[in-house]
Amino acid sequence: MTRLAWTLARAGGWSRMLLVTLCTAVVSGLLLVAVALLLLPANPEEMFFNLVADPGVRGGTTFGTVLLTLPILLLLHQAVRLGTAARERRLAALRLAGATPGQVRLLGALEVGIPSFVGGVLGLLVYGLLRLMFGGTSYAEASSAPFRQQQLRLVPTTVTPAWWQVLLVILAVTLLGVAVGALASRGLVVTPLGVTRRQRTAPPRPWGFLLLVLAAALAPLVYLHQSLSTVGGMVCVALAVVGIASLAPWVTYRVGHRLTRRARSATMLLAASRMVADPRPLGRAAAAVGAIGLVSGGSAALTADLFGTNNLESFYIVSMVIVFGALLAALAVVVWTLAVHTVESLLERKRSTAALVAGGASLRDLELAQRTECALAAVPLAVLGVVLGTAALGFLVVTTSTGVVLMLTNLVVTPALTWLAVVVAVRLVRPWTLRAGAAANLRTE
Amino acid sequence: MNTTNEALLAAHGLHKAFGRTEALRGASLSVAAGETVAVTGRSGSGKSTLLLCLAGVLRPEAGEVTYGGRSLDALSEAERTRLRRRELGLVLQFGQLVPELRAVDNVALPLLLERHDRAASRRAALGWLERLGALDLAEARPGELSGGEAQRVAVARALVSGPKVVLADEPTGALDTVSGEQVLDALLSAARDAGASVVLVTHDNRVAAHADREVVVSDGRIEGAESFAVTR
Amino acid sequence: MSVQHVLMGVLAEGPAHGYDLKRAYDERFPGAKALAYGQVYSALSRLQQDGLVEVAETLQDGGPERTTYALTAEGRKALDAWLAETEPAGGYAAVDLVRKATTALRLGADAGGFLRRQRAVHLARMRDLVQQQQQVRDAGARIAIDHTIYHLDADLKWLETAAARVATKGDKA
Repeated sequence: MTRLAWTLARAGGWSRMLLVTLCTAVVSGLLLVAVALLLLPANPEEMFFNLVADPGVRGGTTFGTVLLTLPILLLLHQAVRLGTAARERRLAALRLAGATPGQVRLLGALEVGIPSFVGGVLGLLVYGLLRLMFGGTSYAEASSAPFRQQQLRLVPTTVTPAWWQVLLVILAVTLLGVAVGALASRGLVVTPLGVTRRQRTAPPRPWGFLLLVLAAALAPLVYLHQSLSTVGGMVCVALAVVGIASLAPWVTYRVGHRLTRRARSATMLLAASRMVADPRPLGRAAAAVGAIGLVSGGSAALTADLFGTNNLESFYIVSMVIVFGALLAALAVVVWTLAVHTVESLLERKRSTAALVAGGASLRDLELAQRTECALAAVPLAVLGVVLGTAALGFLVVTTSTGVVLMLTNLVVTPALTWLAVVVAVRLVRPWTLRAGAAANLRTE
Repeated sequence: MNTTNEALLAAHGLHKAFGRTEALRGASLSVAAGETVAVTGRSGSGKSTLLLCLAGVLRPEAGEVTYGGRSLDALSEAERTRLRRRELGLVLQFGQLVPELRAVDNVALPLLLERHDRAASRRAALGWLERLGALDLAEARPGELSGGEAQRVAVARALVSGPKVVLADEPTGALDTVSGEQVLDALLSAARDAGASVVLVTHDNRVAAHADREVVVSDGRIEGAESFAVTR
Repeated sequence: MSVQHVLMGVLAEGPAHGYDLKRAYDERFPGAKALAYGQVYSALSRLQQDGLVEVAETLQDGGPERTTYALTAEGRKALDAWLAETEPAGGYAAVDLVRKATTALRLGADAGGFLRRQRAVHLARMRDLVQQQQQVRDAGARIAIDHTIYHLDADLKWLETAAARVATKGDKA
């Protein structure tokens, strides 16, 4: 059974397995950091950045760390969805060969579960890396080194998660991976004879607003009842974030609707209609980009603080560069999945696409429509996310001109990079776009 | 007999292979302005391939296609695309409409791609839908249309930019007898009124009987004494 | 007249007795009424008179007379001329068309040419009818024209299928 699952997983392509492993590793590492933060006593024996040092805020930071896993889980969802149709076909072929539905489901779970487990274990490395990059300085050490107030010490070094806590995290991450895998195959009709994607024709509904309303309702209560403040604050923030994320498909749908009416060009019309017809993948990707923007803004604020307090230790600069590098990588992945989605929708209707080309649409027209679709999904939320992220942590920052310049630059650079990523990704999927519009798809005989 | 001087769209000795299968082995055909030509033959005879080469969508390995006397090979990709947008109209058997767009937007597409104004394109599209008896379908999506209705929308899209030649590949092939008759009538009368030529690939004799003349394709070649003064 | 031609077509495949000729005819047209011996012999005598058929040999071995008939060179020419002529399109029974097509396809000589020429005639007639139909407004008249068109179409389709059958299965008795 396991050998078959392994073969299946390999058949799915190394890149997908690798992506799943990477994502789960980061999630696992972040969860371990959160556990460590929870283990810190009220008065820890090391020095931290005030986000962690202050026990009142610490709860929020821990929660924020856990929230950080959400965009990565979104990424994981995208990664698993990549090539899901092909994977389902393989599983359907197995059913045809005689496997029971239970066996097939097990295989499917193993196919995602094994890389998730490996990622979960690798999370220890990620945790170690984060500790190294952003570890606190214990008072014992500080006595020998000069005192620095506001360095980016975020990860506890004096406490370590116990073995059973580590095991729990690995288990949780594996289960999360399997759950995401199961979610990705939802909506696919699988029979031994073939796989078709069941079109969810129902437009997305704005349930997210309920969550936002709830969050808004709770906020004053939390403010007034001091005892509830940390837990209540966390719940509010959680509701708000989940609310916004779940609203993304609805927003995409509404924006698309608006734009179809007011589109002036063929490419805008095509892009906007795609947004209305299939808003969910676009909304999800948009939410992920928003989250990336959020983290980017926050990181820019923290980096600005480094400049502000003149703590330009190469060590921290390198750490922040790594963080921004990871953000860039995540952005590239999300935008890539967006581009793949747009080309997949062209490939799903080859005749229609080929007919469009035959009727006089050039490759440039097709690619422009794809770029518009991706950009409309990604760029506005990149802007929103980075603005919110900068605002959220900006108040902690020691304001110097360099710091402000840094944050403003980031405000511009993040959306610009998103746009660039869209252009590059669409260009990279050109071979598939060409295949979708090929004249051979028009032959009837 | 059509000479190349009169021919609006012509194919000269086309050779086209797909992998190891030779679809066309030296096929020639010419279409004069305003005439309706039926291209018939058994499945696999190469008639669809011939049509697609005439439309400038497939590039033959040998031989050439001329439009208004000019060889398509001499045109750049952009010019070929423009030609397909403006001068030629293509109707397929099924599946050519964009599923996300409403019928009226589907019909307006060629005009929008030519960068015409949205409102004007919409008006023109509605006009053609009315001409084809499909005005009440304007706001429907292709998924909601029956085969015959979708084909009428497709015909409207082929005609909206006022092409000189309409190339139809088994336009009624997927339809039942009655809808097929209606679509064919709509296509031919609209084309006639617009003065456009029609090249109709079909395996249906009754459809062929609606054309001015018939050209039979067999084994990648034109069968019989269809002689063309191929003077260059 | 075309019964004579069918018999000439059978003789073109080789000399045969009168009895064999009747059997061959009945096998080829199983849907039609069986040919009476009288018809066979009267057709044969007519053909002999016109010099299109001759007696090849006569055997008498105590039983009924068995005369073998054969096609003359004249007969062959007449047969080819008949096959080269197209049948008019229309007439619902189209018995003559069926007889000629069967003979032509079996003999195999220029079957492609035969089909092409006949198809052109049928299509031309269909084209006329279509044009007629377009001028006419009355639904009843259109329906009547439709009927003829559909039957002509049926004949054409049958011709194509017949040719394909003969081509793939070769000569089948």
